[in-house]
Amino acid sequence: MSTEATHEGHPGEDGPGDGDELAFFVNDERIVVYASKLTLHEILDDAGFDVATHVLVKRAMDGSETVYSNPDEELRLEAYARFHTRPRVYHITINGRARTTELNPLSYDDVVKLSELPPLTDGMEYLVTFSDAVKPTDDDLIEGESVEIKDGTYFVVTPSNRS
Amino acid sequence: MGHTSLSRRVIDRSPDLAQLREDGYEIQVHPANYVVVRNVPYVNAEGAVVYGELFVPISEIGDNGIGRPPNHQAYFRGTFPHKRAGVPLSVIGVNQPGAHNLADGIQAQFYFSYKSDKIRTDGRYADFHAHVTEYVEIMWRYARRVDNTATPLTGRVNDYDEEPSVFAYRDTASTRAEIVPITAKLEGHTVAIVGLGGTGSYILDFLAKVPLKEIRLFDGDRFSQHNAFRAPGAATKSDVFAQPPIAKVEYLKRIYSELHLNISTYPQYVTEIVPDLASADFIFLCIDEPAAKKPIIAGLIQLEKPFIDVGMGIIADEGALGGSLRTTISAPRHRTHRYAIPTADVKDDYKTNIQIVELNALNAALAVVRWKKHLGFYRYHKLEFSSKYTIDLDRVDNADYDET
Repeated sequence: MSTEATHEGHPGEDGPGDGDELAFFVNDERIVVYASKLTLHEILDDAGFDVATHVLVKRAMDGSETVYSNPDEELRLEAYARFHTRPRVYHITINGRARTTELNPLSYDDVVKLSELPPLTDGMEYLVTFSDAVKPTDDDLIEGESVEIKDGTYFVVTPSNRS
Repeated sequence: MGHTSLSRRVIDRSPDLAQLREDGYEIQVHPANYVVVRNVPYVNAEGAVVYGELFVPISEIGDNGIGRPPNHQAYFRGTFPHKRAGVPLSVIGVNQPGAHNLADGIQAQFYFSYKSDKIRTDGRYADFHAHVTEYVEIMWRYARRVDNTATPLTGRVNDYDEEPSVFAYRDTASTRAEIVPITAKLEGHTVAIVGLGGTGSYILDFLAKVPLKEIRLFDGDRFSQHNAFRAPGAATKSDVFAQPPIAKVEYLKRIYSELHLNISTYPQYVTEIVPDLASADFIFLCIDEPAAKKPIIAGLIQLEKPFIDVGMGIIADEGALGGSLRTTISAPRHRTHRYAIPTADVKDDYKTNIQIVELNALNAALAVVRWKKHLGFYRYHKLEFSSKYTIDLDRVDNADYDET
């Protein structure tokens, strides 16, 4: 399935000639445009997503990601570039309380900070356990580890010092 | 060894057993709580007279002798009794085919179910005299036809010489469940519990039922009103409001020495390794203050001692409680853990000082189960050295396994 969108090109820019057809992918759906630069807002519109609730992510061959979250930011488009959308905030639960975060994946330190427990100092330990994450779905974290989350991921963060 | 035999005293105080001995049956009371009858003549499959042994479990045994047999059944060590060559004595009935491990080194091949006309309406024989004589007679009568001199009445007296029990009354639960040789794996150890708060006191509750050589309790605290809500059983008002307050370890020893006779108390805060802690075989650390643990842990590691450290963290939020219970097993080959032992307390602790009794009990139970795996009492697929239970998720997670 493809959508076609027409955008007037900017005179004198590099890259594929403005006004030439350019195809790229958002969430594996092919989008055809007639420009080589579009704003985040325009791209998400074309793909059918609300810029208020979504960001765009470009994954490179080496696995690194670039996240575009500024609606007015202009993205240079290459032919057959692949983008994915992602929710602008994630709705998760920590110790029974609803929280939101833009970060994904979340590291052990991120989760501890979000829990609003007293910051860890030398000799203190917190257990961080989760369910309903992306991969793995159910596990735990120690310092240095991270987990990819989604809406609904549930965390339990506690000390373990009482007998 | 060489004390007045407990078994001999039980026989002397039980009229039915005393009568059996007077009749000439070769009976003994085995320390694993069986009446043993040796030299029982029976006919084997080939038609020859051979001799076997009967074991009848005892479920009530104390200073006044033994109670009635718990059921109509009996274990037998030998081959299957026959009427004559090739004709099995089927009336004797067989339950649960297969060998039964009755005690260390004693295995019975059969578990018989024989109800003679002497059986009472409650399905049991009147006493051990009726029970033993009926079982012996049903086999002996056929042995007499082959050899009329065959007899179980040897008149031999040979009582077990046993160590004094660590229990005030005998563990007939293990006998009843046929797990005496498995329970025996727990014998002879000295275990220390440091910290007798909610979790430590439940660990004591469980260990008092184990045939440990000695249980040592270390805690400098007094027993007070709020402790009563996290201790096993129900404290009396006079204990709760005692003036001066009772030491926690003395309060608990008083209760549990009704069952386990070798509980020692150390009403002191442990700040370093003391000799009676160093000489324990295994230590449970149930200390409420992480900072106090540091020197103890360092000392136990230096002495190459195995120990289990427990700790919970309960958070109240959105009107409900959630959190985690940690059980960390530290042994010479596992001294660092994924779920690490804290050695410093949480600042601003007002929100995280919650403990609830069933969570103390659960943490204690998980710790004792893990200790028993260490001794081979419980089976394990993989042996973990870190474990935690998360209340919100109803999930146990394990880590730090032995390399296979």
